[in-house]
Amino acid sequence: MIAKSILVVLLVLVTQATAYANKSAVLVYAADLPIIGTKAHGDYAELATLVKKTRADADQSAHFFLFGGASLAPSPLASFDSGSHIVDILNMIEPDAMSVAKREFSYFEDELTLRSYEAAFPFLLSNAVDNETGEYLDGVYPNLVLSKQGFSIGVISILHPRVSEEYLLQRLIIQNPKNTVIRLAEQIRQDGADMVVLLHSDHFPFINEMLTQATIDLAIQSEPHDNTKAESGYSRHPNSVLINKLGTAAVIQINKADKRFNTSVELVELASQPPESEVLQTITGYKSRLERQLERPIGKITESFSTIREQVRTSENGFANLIADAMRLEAKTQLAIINGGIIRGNRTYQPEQVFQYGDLLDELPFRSRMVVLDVTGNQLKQALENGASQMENIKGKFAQVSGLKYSVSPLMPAGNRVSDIQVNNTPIETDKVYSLATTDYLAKGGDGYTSFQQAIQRFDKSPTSPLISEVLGRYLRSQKMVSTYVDGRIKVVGSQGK
Amino acid sequence: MTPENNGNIKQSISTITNILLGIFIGLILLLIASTYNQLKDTEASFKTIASEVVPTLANNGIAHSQLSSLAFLVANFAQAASPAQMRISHREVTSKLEEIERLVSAGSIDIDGKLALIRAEFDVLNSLILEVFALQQILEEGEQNIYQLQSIIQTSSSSKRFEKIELLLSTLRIIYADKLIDVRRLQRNMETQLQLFSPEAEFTDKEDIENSEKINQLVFGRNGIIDTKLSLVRTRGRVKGQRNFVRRLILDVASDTEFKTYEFANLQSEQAEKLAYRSSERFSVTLTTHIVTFLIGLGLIIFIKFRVVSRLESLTKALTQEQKPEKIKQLCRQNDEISVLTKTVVKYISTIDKQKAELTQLSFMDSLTKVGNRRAFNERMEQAISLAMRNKLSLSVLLIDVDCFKQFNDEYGHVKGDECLIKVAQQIKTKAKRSSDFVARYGGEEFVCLMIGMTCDEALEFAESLCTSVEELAIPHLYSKAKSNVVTVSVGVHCETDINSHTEERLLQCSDVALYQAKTNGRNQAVRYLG
Repeated sequence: MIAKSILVVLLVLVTQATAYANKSAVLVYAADLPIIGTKAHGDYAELATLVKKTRADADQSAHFFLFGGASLAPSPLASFDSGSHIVDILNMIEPDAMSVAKREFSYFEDELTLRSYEAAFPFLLSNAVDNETGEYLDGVYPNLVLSKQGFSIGVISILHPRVSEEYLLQRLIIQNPKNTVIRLAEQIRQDGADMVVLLHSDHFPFINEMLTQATIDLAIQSEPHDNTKAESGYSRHPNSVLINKLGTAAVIQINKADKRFNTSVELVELASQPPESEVLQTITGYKSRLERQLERPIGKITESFSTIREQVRTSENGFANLIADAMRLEAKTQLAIINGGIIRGNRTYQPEQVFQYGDLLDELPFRSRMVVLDVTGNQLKQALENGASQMENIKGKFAQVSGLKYSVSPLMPAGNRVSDIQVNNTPIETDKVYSLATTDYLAKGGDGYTSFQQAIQRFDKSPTSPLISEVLGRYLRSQKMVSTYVDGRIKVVGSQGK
Repeated sequence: MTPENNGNIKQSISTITNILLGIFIGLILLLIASTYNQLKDTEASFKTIASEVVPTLANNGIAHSQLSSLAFLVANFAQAASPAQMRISHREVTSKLEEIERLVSAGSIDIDGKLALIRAEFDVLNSLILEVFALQQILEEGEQNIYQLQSIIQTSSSSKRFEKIELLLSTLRIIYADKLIDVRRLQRNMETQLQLFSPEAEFTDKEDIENSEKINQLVFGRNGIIDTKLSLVRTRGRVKGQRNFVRRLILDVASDTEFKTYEFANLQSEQAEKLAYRSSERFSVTLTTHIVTFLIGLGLIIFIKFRVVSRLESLTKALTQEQKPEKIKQLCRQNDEISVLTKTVVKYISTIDKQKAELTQLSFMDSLTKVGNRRAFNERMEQAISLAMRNKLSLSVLLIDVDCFKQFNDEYGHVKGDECLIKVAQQIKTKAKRSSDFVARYGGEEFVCLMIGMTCDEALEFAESLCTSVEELAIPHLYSKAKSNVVTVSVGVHCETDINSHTEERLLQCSDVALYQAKTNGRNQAVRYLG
């Protein structure tokens, strides 16, 4: 806290000293880079070049580099180090701040705090309070005023309250985003910020309004999986920047004209930049460090399968079946349920390809652990309804199962979509108790699986709570091959109009 | 010899005993085999427990605790505040790694080659911490330089003395900054401040330029405070990241070991359950076999007791008591060897009795004439005396002698003589037809007839009819002196009504006297003893 106060005082001093010097700035923004050295698109080495170049080109203009987060997880490496390597690489590129997006909570609050102390730059999250301390999350700044070359920007970062449920945050209280923005915008203007920049990844309808009313001056959103862009009647404010493509950075030129700021945005595909050698070397170092571990073969793939996001979140999926079956077998339970969102590979596999440990971690990067519950038929039904409730938005809560069958009608109203639930070809009984293997995340009510919170956890059946990735790894190793199958356990009735 | 063939025995004791004995011995052998197997199984289980289960569980427990303490030691190592503390912690970690290495190479634990990875990652952490110390060292030297400059500047007379002190303070702030943005901000701040000392600036003297140049070199030069500080901030972050990573890696291996232990324990418990189930099954079988064996043994004993021993006892008793064969025969209700034996014994006894009776009869009979002999007469006489005495009956004796039999023999030969005697004897026997009448050959050509309950007159009358009937046989005897040319007899009759101990003697003597009288009177007549 003392450090924070000094920071703010210094910023104010500097701002005042150069108040009339220059009112133009260059802001580089990037986010959503959880996987280093990926072939899919450019990442940190290319970003480092872009930042260096724009910094050099800025000349007398202020130069800011804001990192939008959503990168500490998920990735195979992160499943080992919970994102430390990303922080290390970012330390080299020196962002002025990194906003905390929901993915940063993949390994929960404490791991994020640990990362913030590893970071040589501030983590930023404005609308989250730690229930335990009653203050902002340790190591995370609620807002920042950054000042360079006489241009000072105040930065706010907000999360959607849904993150508590999605990422099962026990301690974090997400405050009202709108009120937070209004309150902090005012505060940082008083602290001398020339403009207020809001970073966010979820869509908030109030942002346009706030831009119009000049409560904030610039909003930057990174959402490569944005499902709301097609929303009818919604048009973006010119100062609302959206990056909806992976491996893309925004270079934003800001000029102050009268009391308003004009922005011009250039979206730069990182792949177009040459890699920066030092960062590239570090990335290569990280990649090769665990290569031996990650390249361990698990088994040969017998037929092609896919873990494409839409597929694992809206229909029965062979790979998901494999995971659920492995859990059910290891825990010796009647049933197993996982959420489709646990599978993150978003790719297809071909026969004869060797499935490696790295692929396993690619698919299951979260450190979810297996738990065993005793659930009633009623709780099971509620859980499946919850899983089906957001199919149209391709949410990760979609239930993939083992040991049971069900039908789901996405066209029906949410809460009334699941029917014909059968265990051993017998309809489930409301009061009957079934043993269920699931993830600790769902068992604690994550992704809206609140009915599992009432279920009784059976510690005797799985006292060590192995990682789901370990459970699947063991199962696949025992099979000596990766053979996925779809057997009609989930029947989607009607279509989603696609 | 045996009356019944063994093949016809339907309830053969030998077969039943053999079957029971066979089953009994079979079951005993089965019991021995099953007990042996069970003991062998138990021994094998104990051996497995001793040689595999306990060591594996213990080793996994040790591995888990060693790995946990390794994680703690690594965390401790990463927080070392001085090179000395770091060296001590490094030694602790290395020795712990060696301990685990020894366990791995002894085959006690299997951590899937992850130890090498842990070691490699720990080495990375080690070199990062060394780097931090080296960077700190450089910064400390920089700090010393600042203090030296400060003392020089403080004593100088420069007009920009305070600004220079301010510059040095900014440098110190850089040294103590935590975040990169702070360093960068302070850097920008200092760059602005340094402009005050440029040769173009107002009131800048040579000393100012020299001092600012020194500060500039110290802060912004190659490996200056800024560079070093930036590296330090980054490397510290990396140390923290690496520390967390190594800790996580070790704890993951520990948790994997824990899971393996759990899985192994589970497997063992399943196997133990199976063994217990098998043992309990075997125990039931063994118990049942024991009971069956006992029952069969008991059955065998009871069978032998009742079907053999008791019956042999009864048989012995019956034989000792000389029970009648019919009664003994009742002992053989079953169709078995003992019945056969009993029947055989009964048969032998019957044969002996019959032969005995025959012998007795033979010993009391005259072999030529087939009437009683003298011994039979003596015995009959005793019986008759007691009978007559008890019943107050009279007793008569008739002594019958073939007349002139010596001449007959001499004239007709012994063969004819024997034939004559046989005919006479048969004639007498035919006449004495009452059951109580008794005829015997008294000697040579002399017969005796004993009669109970006849009056003296009746006896005489019978004797006279006897004489007549013999004469009527008309056996030629031309040389007879009895005024007849056929065989005749003389009969001496005596009758006693008052029977006592002298009766026998008197009857014989008196009848002999009467016979003599009949001979004297001319033969072929009966004479009664008249005293």
